[in-house]
Amino acid sequence: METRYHIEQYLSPPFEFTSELEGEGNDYTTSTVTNRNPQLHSSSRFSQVDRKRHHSLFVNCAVVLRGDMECVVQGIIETQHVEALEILLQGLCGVHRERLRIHEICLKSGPNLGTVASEVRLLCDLEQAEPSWTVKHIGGTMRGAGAEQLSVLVRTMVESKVSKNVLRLFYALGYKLDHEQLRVGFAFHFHRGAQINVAVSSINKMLKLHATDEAVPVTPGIQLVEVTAPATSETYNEVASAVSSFCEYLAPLLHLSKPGISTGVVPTAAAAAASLMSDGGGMTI
Amino acid sequence: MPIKRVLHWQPNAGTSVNSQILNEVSQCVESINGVKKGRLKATITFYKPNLRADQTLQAEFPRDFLGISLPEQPNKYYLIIRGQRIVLEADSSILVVMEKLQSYKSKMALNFEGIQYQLGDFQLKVGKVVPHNSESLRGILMEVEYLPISSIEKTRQVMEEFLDIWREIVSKKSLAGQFMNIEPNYAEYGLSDQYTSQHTAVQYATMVAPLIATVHQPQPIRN
Repeated sequence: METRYHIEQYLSPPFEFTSELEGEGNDYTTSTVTNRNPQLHSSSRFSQVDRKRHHSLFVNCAVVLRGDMECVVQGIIETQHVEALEILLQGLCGVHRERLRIHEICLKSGPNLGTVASEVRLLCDLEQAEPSWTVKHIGGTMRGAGAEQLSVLVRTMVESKVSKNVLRLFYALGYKLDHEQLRVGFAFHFHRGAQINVAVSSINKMLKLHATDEAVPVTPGIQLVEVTAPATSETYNEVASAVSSFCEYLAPLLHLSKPGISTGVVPTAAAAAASLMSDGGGMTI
Repeated sequence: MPIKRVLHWQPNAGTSVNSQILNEVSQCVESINGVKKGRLKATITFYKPNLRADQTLQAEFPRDFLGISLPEQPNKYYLIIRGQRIVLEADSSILVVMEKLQSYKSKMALNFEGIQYQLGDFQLKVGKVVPHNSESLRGILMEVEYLPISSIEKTRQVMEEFLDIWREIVSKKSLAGQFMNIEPNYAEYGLSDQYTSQHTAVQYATMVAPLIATVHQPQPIRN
C-alpha cells in the first residue's frame, strides 16, 4: 500500500526553516575505532583518527555498542537484468525480499559548527505503515596495506532509530541540507557466514525540495547494488571474507567492488540473466 | 505507560537545599507506608556547540540543548532543545553518532539519584540532584507515578489530590521550602495525552532549568 508521505509534517510549527543547499564537499572523517587485529595492527589505520577527542564529548552516559563498523561493496546492473538478479538472490538467500523505499536526507554542519565539518544522514523508511526514521553516520574508511588487501571496504558506521522530528532537531542544531535522494527497490537480509544485507535500488533525485512523489532516476536504466555487513574491530576480517564469498555467486550478473571504484556492468550479464530467467530461479546452494 | 509528575524542591528565599531536607522528605514517604523498591539514576547532560572560530557565534546555536537518560528506558536517549520545544527519542547509539559528529560537547552533567517507593497504585521516587562525579547537592527531585492509567487528562484529578495530600504531609515537617510541579505544555512538543517517556524527559528538562544557574554560581551548601 502506498504510504502518503509529506515531510512537512515533520517540520511542524512553531519551527520554520528555509532550505539551504551547500555545495562545498568538505571531507569528514571522525573515526575512533581501535584496530585490535594483530594482522593489521601496524599497517591499517582509520583516516584522521584523533583518539584524544574520543572521550571528551558525549562521555557521561554508558553506551553498549555491539559493533560500529561495516563491510561494504557496490556494483551496478542494468534494470533489464534486475529481475534475474532477484531470482538469483532469492535462490541464494532462501528468504523473501523486502521492498525498499527510503528517503535519504544528507545534512552537513554549518560553516562554524564542530571542530571538523561533519555529515549525517537521516533515513526515512517509507515502506512502513508509519514512516520510521534512522540517523546514520558513516565515518572513516580503514586504510593501510592490510585494508588494501581486503576486497571490501571497511568503515565505521553507526545508526540510531529516532522519533520523527529528527530533521527539525538537526536543523535547530545548525545542520544544513546538503542533498537528498530516494532509493526505491528491494533488499534481502540473511545470514551466510555473517549477517549480510543486499539492497538493489534505483537512486532518484527530487526535482522539488522533499517531493518524493515527483522523484526521477539519476541514472535511468541502471540500478545500484549494495552489499553491506555489520562488523566490529574484532570480526571485520571474517565478515569481509563472508561478503567476498557471497559476491562471487553474483559475478555472472554484476561485479561488486569497493565504493568509488566503478567497474561498470559485466559483459556476461545478458547471457547469465537469460539463463536464470529460463531456469525459473530454482537455484539453491 | 504510567503517568508521571516530576517535582522539584523550591527552597524558601534566603535558604538553600541541604541533605537534611532530603532525609526529612524520605521519612515522609516512609511515614505513609511507602515500601522501598530499589534505587534509580537518571542523567541530564547539558551540551554546548563546538565552534571552530568565532566564539561570539554561540548565540546562533541553541543554548539549552540537553540529553537525558532515564532508568526505565536504558536503551533510549532523549535529546531536547527547550527553546524550540523539540524532544527526540533515540536509540542510545545516538550518543556515539553525536560524539563522532563532534559538533556539540558536554558542558556539564547532573545525576538524579534516588530511591523508589511503592505506595498502592502510586510509585514515588525521591532523590538528590548532584553534578556528575561530585557529591555536592544541587537539588531534590521527586517523581510521582500513577500506575493504572496512561492518560494525562484522566489522571489529572487523582494526581492533583495526591500532590495536595503529599504537600500537606511535608508541610508538617516545617521545612524551609516546598515541592513545586510545573507541568509543561506537552502539545508544544508535539506530544499527545497518552503519557510516554518523552513526556518524562520534557519534565526533567523543565525542572532542571533553574538548577543550571545554581551550578554556574556556586553557593554555600550544607550537607
